[in-house]
Amino acid sequence: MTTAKTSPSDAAPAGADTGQPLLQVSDLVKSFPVRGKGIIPRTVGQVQAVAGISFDLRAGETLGLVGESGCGKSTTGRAILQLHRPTSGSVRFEGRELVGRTARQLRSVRRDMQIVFQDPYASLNPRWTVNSVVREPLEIHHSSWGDKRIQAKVNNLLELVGLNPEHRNRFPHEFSGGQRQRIGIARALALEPKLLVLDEPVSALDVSVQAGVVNLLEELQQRLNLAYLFVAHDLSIVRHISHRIAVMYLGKIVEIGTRDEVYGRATHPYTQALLSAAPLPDPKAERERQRIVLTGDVPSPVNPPSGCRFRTRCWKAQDICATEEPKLEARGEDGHLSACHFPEVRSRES
Amino acid sequence: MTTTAGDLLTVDNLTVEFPTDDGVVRAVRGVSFTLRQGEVLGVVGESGSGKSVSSMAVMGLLPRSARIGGSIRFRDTEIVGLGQRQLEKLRGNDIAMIFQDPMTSLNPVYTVGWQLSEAYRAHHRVSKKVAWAKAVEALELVGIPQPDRRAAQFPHEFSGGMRQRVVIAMAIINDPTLIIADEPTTALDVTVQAQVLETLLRIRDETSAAIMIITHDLGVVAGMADRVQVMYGGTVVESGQVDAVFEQPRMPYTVGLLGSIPHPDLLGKRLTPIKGAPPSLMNLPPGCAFAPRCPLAGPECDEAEPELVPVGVSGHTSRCLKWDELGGDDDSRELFEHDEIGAVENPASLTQADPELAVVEDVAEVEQRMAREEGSNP
Amino acid sequence: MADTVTKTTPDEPDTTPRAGHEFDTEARKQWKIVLRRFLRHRMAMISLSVLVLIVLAAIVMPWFLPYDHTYTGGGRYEDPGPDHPLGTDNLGRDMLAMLVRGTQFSLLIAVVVAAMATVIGVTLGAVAGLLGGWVDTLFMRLVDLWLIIPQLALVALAASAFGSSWYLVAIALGLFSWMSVARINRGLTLSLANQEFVEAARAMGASNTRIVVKHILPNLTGVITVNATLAVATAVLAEAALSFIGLGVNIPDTSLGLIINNNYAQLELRPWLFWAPFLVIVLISLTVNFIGDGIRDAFDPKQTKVRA
Repeated sequence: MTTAKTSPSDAAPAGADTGQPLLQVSDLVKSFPVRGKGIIPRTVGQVQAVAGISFDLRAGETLGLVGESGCGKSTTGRAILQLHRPTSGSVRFEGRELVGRTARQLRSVRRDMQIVFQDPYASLNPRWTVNSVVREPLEIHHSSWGDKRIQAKVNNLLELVGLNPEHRNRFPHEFSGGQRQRIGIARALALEPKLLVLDEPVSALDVSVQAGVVNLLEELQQRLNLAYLFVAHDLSIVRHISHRIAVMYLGKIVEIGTRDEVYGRATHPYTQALLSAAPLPDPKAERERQRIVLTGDVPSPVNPPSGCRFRTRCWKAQDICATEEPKLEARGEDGHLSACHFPEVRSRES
Repeated sequence: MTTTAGDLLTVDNLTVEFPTDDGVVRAVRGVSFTLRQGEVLGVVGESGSGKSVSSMAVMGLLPRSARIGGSIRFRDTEIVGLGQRQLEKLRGNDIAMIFQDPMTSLNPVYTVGWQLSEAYRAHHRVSKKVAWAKAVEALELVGIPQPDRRAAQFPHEFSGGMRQRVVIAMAIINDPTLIIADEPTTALDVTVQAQVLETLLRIRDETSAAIMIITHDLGVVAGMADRVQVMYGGTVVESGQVDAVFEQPRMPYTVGLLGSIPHPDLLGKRLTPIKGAPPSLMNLPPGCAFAPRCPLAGPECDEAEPELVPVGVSGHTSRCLKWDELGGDDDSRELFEHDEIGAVENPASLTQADPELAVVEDVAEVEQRMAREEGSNP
Repeated sequence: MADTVTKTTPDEPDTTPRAGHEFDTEARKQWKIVLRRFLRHRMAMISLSVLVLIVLAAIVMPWFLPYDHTYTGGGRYEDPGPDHPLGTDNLGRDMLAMLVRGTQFSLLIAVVVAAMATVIGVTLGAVAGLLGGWVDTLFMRLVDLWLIIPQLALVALAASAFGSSWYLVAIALGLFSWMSVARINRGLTLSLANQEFVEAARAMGASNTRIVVKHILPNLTGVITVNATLAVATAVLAEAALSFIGLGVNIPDTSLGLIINNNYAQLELRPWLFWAPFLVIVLISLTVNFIGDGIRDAFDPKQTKVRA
């Protein structure tokens, strides 16, 4: 076992002492134009993929961002990294505003925020060796380092994620899905970031392999004091890895709180439905539990429902839900944030 | 294997091989099982376990290049070696299939009602009007609101979950006695998945069709299936009643699979993945296919592939020599515990081509060796 | 920023002084795979040998022939004989010498055209595909516009204005053959640009230039090579057509199309004067097409392994 090259105390940002969050997102909006057809395409409308969300993330903390496809969770991750330029709102990293910065100004911030993608096949250039994949960020940002130092760092990173540095000259297709995901993680760690956006990092992997990557992420977090924004749809994995969880529906956060608050005392009906719909690998529990089966599908984000966006599928919906949008605020006993006019903890077995 | 009354499908020693430039891919090896009327069989396995290929064999959908051995009997008809014509008669009529992607299983240029009535008319000599009525009826059965209006719409006017219901409607329109669902909910969201699974079970209750559901999601199997069949490396490694297999797994692979799923009890603890990668179907180990990754494996496991032996009650079988060492309430974490981080894995291509190769190596060792090499050739 | 970056002390043991060298050999390994698959493609290999023979003949034969293409000895038709293996044309020019010279020029023009089409097409396509937005719209409308310009009329104009030498023909053809290349490359770039590895590079702070040069272009090599070979085949035919209608290479020089133009009247009486150049044109375009097929198959990643 090599010793960790970066000890947690080194990595802890100075800002952590003053209580300032590493990342502050407020009223973040990302809309995409809907283009018409014609010789010169005209914008005929806007889709708000992310419709004004706010949250904080501290160093060393994991925030799980869950929701179904099309709820804007992946777009949120990319908008924070400025890979999709936000339409409005603010993203502050260590107190510095990122929205509206030029590509050149962002370059230095990029070192501190990295991303790991869902598909370990598409996220590695198939024509590059593992060595060049992991080298790339170092070549971009530390061109002055010289070959020896860069190579030593690459070997170091490969070991860190559990790969044999001797195999660095092999191509991604020679590795299994889980190993490829480790390569992606090594690349993301090369610049010693403080924040990792993990976009469904294990959902493309086989079940028996997922656990290994989850373990690796947890261990890396402890060792390097990383903050994770863990975007996923698999509720059991999010529960395992996250300290806090935000549930998204149609571009909005409907509930946010600590793991126990969201999984144990959810007050938003959508969160409750989501939790009850997830199948458990336990035949007895499956037979016994009361499942909330929602009717219908997620509405189109081009034309979201008025008021509460969930009301079209909600069994509690009243007139007020159509006219007034519920604010995300402290509701219920423990005071975690929820955006529902009728918050109520569902009494349920286990 | 003898056929008893009520047995709908009897698969006996099914083998599927694909010859390729690089060698023969042994996708399915010696798979045997029976399916009774009204029964739900869950087939679980990871990618490359042969679970999809065996279901394609039952449907007679394998490419011509595939070499198929063994026997698949549907009622009194032998499917292996059946001509295209006779297969078409079975397919969509007695046996229906639901695929993973609802978008590609529907033709975008025809209305949903038209496609459903065509599916009905392919096996019934009725007028278009009667077929259309049947189509609307099928849409109603799968829970699509306003079925008469929806039938006149095109697939793109349906959402993902609705489309998968249309696919199910298409599968059941000819009242099949066997429905094969290959990852029917993988492309869907959790809340929609719950709806679709519920629809499938309701149809089973109403038509008493047998369902063979192929999935990688153990949760789906736990909620739906009566019996489960775990596949690994192209063959069945464990099968039995769902309760028995989930509560008292008698095969280390099943134990590892169940143990690697995050569970509320494991909060704050490390998960226990199975080390290594699944074997290449082109180059299988001589003995048990799981032996290279198995914490219990001994030298006897590498000698020959174990038989599927009965272990305990009601048809619970396991392909493991050491099944009785697994008591059932074993802690899978203890079984699969190994120091993973800091241990170094070789590329899959290496471990697959030569299963004998060491899978886990210590970083310190690697570094020492590298240092030695540095020293020896400067 | 600089103060927060270096948390690591460079105290790692020096591991690999030969890393760069190793990388090169490994990178070549993938080319070896492609090469091996190409070598196994029988039609492509036969075609390659035939084409190499033609090219060699066009380069080497002039030194061994007693006449060159400007020779007008007899000043009249002569049938094939020991002196003139393929006979002579109406001006008494040796057909074999003409054929060699014509092949030289046809190939030369074809290569220049293919190079132009590739460079212009790939550049415009990659830029449009990567940048998207109005740049993309502008470039693609440019392609549409270019496609509807009557190419022959422009070439005729150019020929009358500047006279016609082989390089003018080549440039004129090259200016009108990049459009399909641009479209294909734009489409591929568009899909590559949305791949996660490109997004990963962007997240690292890689510049657009770096992304194109390091990530996009290497993944386009297969398609670029195939299209370049196909462009060679098309250019040989296009040049022949231009020369045939008198807008291409002019006397005293010659090209395969011009030879056919001069001799098609003799198809009945002296068929070899027509069939010989015709056969060379067909051979060149056929072999180049087959080679393109072989390259495409060799680059096709789907051919690597079948996994169940």
